Amino acid sequence: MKTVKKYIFLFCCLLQTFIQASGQKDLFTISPVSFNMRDYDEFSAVQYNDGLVFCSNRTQNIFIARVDSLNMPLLNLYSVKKKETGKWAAPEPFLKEISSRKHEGPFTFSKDYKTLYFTRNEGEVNGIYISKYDGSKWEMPTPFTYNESQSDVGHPCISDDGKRLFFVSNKRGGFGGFDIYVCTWNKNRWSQPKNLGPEVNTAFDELYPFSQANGRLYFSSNRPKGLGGLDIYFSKEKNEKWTTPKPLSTPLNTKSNDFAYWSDSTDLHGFVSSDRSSHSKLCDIYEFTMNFPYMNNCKPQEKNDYTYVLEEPGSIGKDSTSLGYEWDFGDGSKIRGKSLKVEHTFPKIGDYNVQLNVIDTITGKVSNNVTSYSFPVADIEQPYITAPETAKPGEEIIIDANKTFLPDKTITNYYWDFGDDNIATGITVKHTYTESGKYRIKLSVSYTKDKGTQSLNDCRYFEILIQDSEKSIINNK
Amino acid sequence: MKKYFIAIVLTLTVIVSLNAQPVPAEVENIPYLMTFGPKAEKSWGDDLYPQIFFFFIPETYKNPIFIRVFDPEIGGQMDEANGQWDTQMAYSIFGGKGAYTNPDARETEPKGNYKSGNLLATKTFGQNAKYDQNYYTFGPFNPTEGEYTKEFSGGYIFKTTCEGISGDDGNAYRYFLSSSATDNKPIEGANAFAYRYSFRMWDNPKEVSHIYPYVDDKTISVRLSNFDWDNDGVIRIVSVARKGQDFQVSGDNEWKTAEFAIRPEEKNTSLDFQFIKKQAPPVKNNNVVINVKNQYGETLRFFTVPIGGVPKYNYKIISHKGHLNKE
Repeated sequence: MKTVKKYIFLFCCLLQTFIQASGQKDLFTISPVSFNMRDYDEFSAVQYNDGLVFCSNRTQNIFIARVDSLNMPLLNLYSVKKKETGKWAAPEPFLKEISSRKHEGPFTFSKDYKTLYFTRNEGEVNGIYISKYDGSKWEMPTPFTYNESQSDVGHPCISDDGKRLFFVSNKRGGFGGFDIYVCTWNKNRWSQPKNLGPEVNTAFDELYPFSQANGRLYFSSNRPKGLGGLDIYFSKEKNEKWTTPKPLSTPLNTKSNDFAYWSDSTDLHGFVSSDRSSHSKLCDIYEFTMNFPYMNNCKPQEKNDYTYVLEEPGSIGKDSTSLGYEWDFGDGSKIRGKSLKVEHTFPKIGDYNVQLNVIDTITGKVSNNVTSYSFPVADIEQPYITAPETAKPGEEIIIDANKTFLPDKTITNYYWDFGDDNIATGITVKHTYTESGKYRIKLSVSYTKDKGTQSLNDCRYFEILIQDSEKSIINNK
Repeated sequence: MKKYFIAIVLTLTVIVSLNAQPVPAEVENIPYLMTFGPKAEKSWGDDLYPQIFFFFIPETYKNPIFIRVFDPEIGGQMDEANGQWDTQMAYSIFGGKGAYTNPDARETEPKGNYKSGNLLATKTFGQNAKYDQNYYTFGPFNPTEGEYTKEFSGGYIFKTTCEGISGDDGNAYRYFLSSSATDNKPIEGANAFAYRYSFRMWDNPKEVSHIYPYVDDKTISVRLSNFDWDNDGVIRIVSVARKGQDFQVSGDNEWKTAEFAIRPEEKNTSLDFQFIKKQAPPVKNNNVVINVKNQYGETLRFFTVPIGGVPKYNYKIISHKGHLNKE
């Protein structure tokens, strides 16, 4: 495995899967970054402050070509900033002071960017090295406690909370090839590495783990049934077990090697690496954006209720009167009494004209329509999900947004997140839940207002119970 | 016979109201003013004081005016006999300085110099078939014969008194302020007011009479006094800020008072005192007296044409989504 292929696998080529849904191809915008070089590899882009850090085997000096013992150009870390114009500036070597004449590749930063974990090819094998920033400079790297002398250890990734360190290794005792392991920070040290288990690891290679703040663990694998080469998958930890990995859809995965998934906190924008380019088989970095709203601020859907309190507000409680009142609600119903504050539930949405008639209880004289009040009974202004409250695993259900009520707004699209890592678009969608549980269906409606000058989203969620025994009940009539 | 008589009076009221400036006014829906002979029982419904009215003529009006009295005599079917008709009733018209401004003229229980000002005309009536359900006309008067006042944008005020001279019968009558000696022709911008009202209630329990005291901006609270109402229904007060507040009326031959605070929106507006008769058993020939004072004991004026128009409470409806039990 000490071949070019090894480096390519380890350092260059790998990663990722997204969500299954209809029409997903249009959901993504993906394009190679401008700082890719035609004759070199670029991969593993990770955000660093207001720019990126990535790996590349490009030459740092056109007169000096640094190579390894196999005459392969050395991999190093580079940083690149985005200019105010939105274009990328020219990359520069990153942390020159700690770089060596060895391959230095896939890496991770702590959340505060004060600790760097990176992969270094040390002699026969790869290991993880750690450098800390003391406020003025990066300290010389120290090897990770669990580096192996006979096996590769690399591709570190720190979890969002900083308490777990994922990495890959082909050490003995795994499931075959490279597996993903995790150490937990406990009592000021990393615990013994733990294999993530057969739910994640296979007899093939699992590489480039990336721990997202939303709980997903992205990684790349060349396991069978993928689109080809390395594909990107994700899994989530549920009840201390990892769920069956799901591959990301095209265009994030292709027939080529796709790997090194990294995304920002929304998980809607990020970078992948791939050798998909037709004119070379070198690895490049691709920037992707998922054309899907960020649904972290969804509110619970409110049930439409056509009950109103109507009142004649003047001098309530002050007049001791022998007058009675008749409320004519304009929907065929009337009530009589002494109250000038009443509650009424209208049968449906519509325009109603409420009339107040005054009855002199002494003379019996009725003064009709002393005042009237026309108003629309309307649904609550919100995206509205019509879905069953319960369904069975494997049962296809229809979910729609037909009752969405957003007056004075031009709706441009409906986005669905079914809560089981599947998404869709459209006013009416079909979905099948495969596992029992309570799921939060989110609907985000994009719209424009003020003649299209503003583009906004509004989001609501609705909870559905997937279970074997009970019948489905439509939540709203 | 009485039934037909009421029907005739009703018809007359409507016709007159359309063509003249009557006292009581159409919007008051009061059948008659009432004044009794000095020997009448108080329990008949008058507290035996003369009834004083003031007529205001705007200074822009330059033509002669006439004060006409409908059914000034005491006899016939409109009036209320106590045994034999034996009552003499004096009508007097006053103008000039003091006719209006003399405080004695504004008391609810007139005494002292309530006949202040210049006596312009006077006439005493007993039983006289000629004037039974017919007019006697005082005038012509030059408007400037009244007492000048700067109130109401300037004008002249005439005072009328109707006072029992002798006897114990009840006198039912009306006034009409007219620009004609022979017809009831209204004078634009004119008005009439009193500080005390003695009148007859309708016999028909469905009829609602009104008076309209004016509340000025210094009025904080009001004391309503009513006499000899025979427990006939309620007095309901309606205003721009009051949809209908009921007060108990007095019993037979007694005074009853009630106080209530004036709401801010009611200042510089008229109140509508509605006299709602009880529906059963009907009370007939009920003569009543009413006056209204402010917190200083000063009497409020009743204008026959209410200042600012007939006050109405403006109902409105507001709504909000929700449930009563969650508020």
